[in-house]
Amino acid sequence: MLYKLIFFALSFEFGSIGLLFVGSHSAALIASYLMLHALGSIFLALFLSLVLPAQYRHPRKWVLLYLFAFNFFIPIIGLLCVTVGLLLGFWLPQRSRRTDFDIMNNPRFTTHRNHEGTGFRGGQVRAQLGNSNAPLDQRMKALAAVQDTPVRATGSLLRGLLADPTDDIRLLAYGILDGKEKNITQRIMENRHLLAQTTDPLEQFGLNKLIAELYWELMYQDLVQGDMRTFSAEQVRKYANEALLVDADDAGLWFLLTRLELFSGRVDAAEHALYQAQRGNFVRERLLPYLAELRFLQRRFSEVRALFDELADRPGVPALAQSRRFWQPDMVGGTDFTRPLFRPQAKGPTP
Amino acid sequence: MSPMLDPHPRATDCDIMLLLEGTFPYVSGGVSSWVNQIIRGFPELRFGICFVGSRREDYGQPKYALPDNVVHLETHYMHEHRREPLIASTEGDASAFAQMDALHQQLRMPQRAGVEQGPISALLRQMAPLLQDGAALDEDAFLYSKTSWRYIADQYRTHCTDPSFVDYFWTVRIMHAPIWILARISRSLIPARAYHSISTGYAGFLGALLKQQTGRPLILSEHGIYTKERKIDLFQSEWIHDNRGVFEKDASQLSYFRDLWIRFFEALGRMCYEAADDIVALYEANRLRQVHDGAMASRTRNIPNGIDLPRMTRLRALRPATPPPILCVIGRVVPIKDIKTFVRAMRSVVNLMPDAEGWIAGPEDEDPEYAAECRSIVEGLDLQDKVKFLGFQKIDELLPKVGVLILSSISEALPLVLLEGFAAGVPAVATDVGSCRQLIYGLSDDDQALGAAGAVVGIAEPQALARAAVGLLNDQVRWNAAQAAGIARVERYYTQEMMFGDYRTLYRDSLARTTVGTPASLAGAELTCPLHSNTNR
Repeated sequence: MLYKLIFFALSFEFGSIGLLFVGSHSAALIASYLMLHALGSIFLALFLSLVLPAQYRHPRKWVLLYLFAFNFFIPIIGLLCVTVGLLLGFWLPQRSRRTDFDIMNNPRFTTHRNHEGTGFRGGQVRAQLGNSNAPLDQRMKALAAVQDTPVRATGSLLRGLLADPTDDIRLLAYGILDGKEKNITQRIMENRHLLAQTTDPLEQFGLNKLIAELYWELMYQDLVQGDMRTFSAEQVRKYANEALLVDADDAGLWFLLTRLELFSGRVDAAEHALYQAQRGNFVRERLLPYLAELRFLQRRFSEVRALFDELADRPGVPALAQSRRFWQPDMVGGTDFTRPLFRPQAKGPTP
Repeated sequence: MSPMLDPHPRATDCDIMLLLEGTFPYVSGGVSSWVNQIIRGFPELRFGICFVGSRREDYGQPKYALPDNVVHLETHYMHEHRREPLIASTEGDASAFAQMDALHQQLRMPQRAGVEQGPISALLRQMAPLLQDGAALDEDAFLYSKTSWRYIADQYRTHCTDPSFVDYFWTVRIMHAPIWILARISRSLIPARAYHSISTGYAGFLGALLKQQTGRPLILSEHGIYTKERKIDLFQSEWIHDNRGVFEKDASQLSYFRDLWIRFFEALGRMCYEAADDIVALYEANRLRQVHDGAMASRTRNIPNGIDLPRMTRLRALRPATPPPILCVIGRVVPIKDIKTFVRAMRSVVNLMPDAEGWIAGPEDEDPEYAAECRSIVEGLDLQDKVKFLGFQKIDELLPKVGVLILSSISEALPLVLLEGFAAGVPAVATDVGSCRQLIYGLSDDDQALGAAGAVVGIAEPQALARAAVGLLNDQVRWNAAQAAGIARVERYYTQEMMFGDYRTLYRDSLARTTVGTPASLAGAELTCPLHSNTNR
């Protein structure tokens, strides 16, 4: 792909330059030159947009327009400048990385809430469920013990058990997951039915908001995967936007959309939603972790640190306090080499 | 019901009395089809049917026409409102309750797999006559006698970990009520030369009572494992109370009533296993499970399902040259078939193969709420044009139009529909449940050498299901190989003749045992019931 793009870019560019040496100055020739040069610039812009360092590739349409304009309006020199810029783009971060950064281990945070079922014979619930040689009765009881725990905490464990060699375990794990999903989807269906019947805008607002929240719950509780998760995310957007048509200033809905878009990795949409939530006077303290996550995804690390500074005086969940402590300026890059160091692993909502 | 209005055939005796709980002829499905097949496979035998259900209104009209050799059908319902009893103060027979206590104590003892638990059978044999109306342990004695009250209160103090005596008292009464209904049925049922139950549970317990009372052979054929399925239902049931306070609760301890219900059905299963002369499973894993649950290994055997091969083979000629992009689930639209996973998989299938269609061929009346939920998911995933609910279909007309059979169930035994599909030349993608892996990849080395007749995926994995089905449909060579493997496997291992052969032996041996006890029956003389030998019939 890259080879094809650069081949076409250079072919059109050299072709257009060749036309300049024909000796004629007819309008047709100039038009032909401009057309070939434009085509060359388009292919070059496409090529460069693919080889740019990742952090410079977005927003994509503006980057493409900028590269095109640079090549189109400053022929040859523009190309040279972009090439030099590209090399600097690769070389400078590596240089500064060598001086300012170090290889870091994953941080190991101890969360405040214990894993599900830790009270079960000295925290053996996971071990018992995972051990297919353990007596079936004990495993069934261990599974029964986790069935009232939110699936957000047990989802991966239960899904792992769907492939268990024992029928009973597999069926019970399936039943637990299905039951939890069914409870939410039934409420969604009931409320969609109510929504179809009402014409009162206020009721429509309330129902749309509730349905959006229920679809979010399916995602948050980790009850849907793959295409169903994508579908649920679309439904959250759809119903939230319907509700926002009635009350565009509902900060709670914007907050919901912020979490959804961060969860979906849609940074621009998350930024917009978060801005609207702020405008709607949503409690800043609850927004801060999400704002920090957004800035982290945008690689604006100094702002992440500043936001954690702001969190310093505010009570928060212990996991957040640990994150905040990690981002304190005197810790990062300090002399305490025994501390766990932070390297982002996965996108997801801040706990 | 007056005889004039009774639509059921009636007889004074039969050869084989089938004890059927919640299945043929009122519920369609794999087990019912199997029962239908067996009855029609032995036209020389006169079958009786004792249908045991929950409530009359839970079942509609019969889903199957009764074969001509069904000479007798009677229906009984466990949870129907009965007449108010005449309540009178009774003291109750302490010695009879002591016998009942002895049986309970035996049932409380942990069982050891494959070891005969003689005392249970002996105690049940002693107790069975006491359960009849007017005897020392009849229903009134259980419900209204002072001895019964004292016994229940004492059991509560000794064993119950739930603080509510009221809940305990009513749970015990409601739980045991069907015992007396079944005891009554066992006294009134027409004589049969052998009894054949298709599950443990209530029907199996009825079989155990009949065996103890008449001495006639009892055959048990299990498709799924009843006790296991009940147990899973009970684990999830929301109607079972747990009155323990926050400080009394221990996550590792099931609520007492939940545990009590589970133990109740385990006990029914043990009594049936104990009483049965022959115990049949469809495949080895289920046979081992029966042994684990209390069946004597020496009485167990495997008889896999078999199909009418010539009928299905004819359908191969009707197939198009290339496999149509049709994925089809054939089965009832009920949670155990996990139709929702199939619908979700279709979203991915259509993304990969835009001309593909998903068909769901099966009745939706058994669980309309679940069917509605499936339809709403179809709508939500924008698959209205791609997923079709066809209702009940004739399999002969359906199979030639199908590219790949899908079985998305969370629990199966040995699904007939896969065998029929193979015989008709349709490979399958199935979940890894029951004997599906054995059917698709083969069991013995020779069987495995025939090749894969499709693919097996994990349960509730729509993406994997979609990938496997599309992979098969998009690869003509692989599809052809799967078709050939399926045909070869079903022709070699799963024909109706093999199954009938095994059951012919089983019935012949059982009926021969009856002959020893009641010689008149084989000689063609009128068959009499040992219980009703004085009855003027």
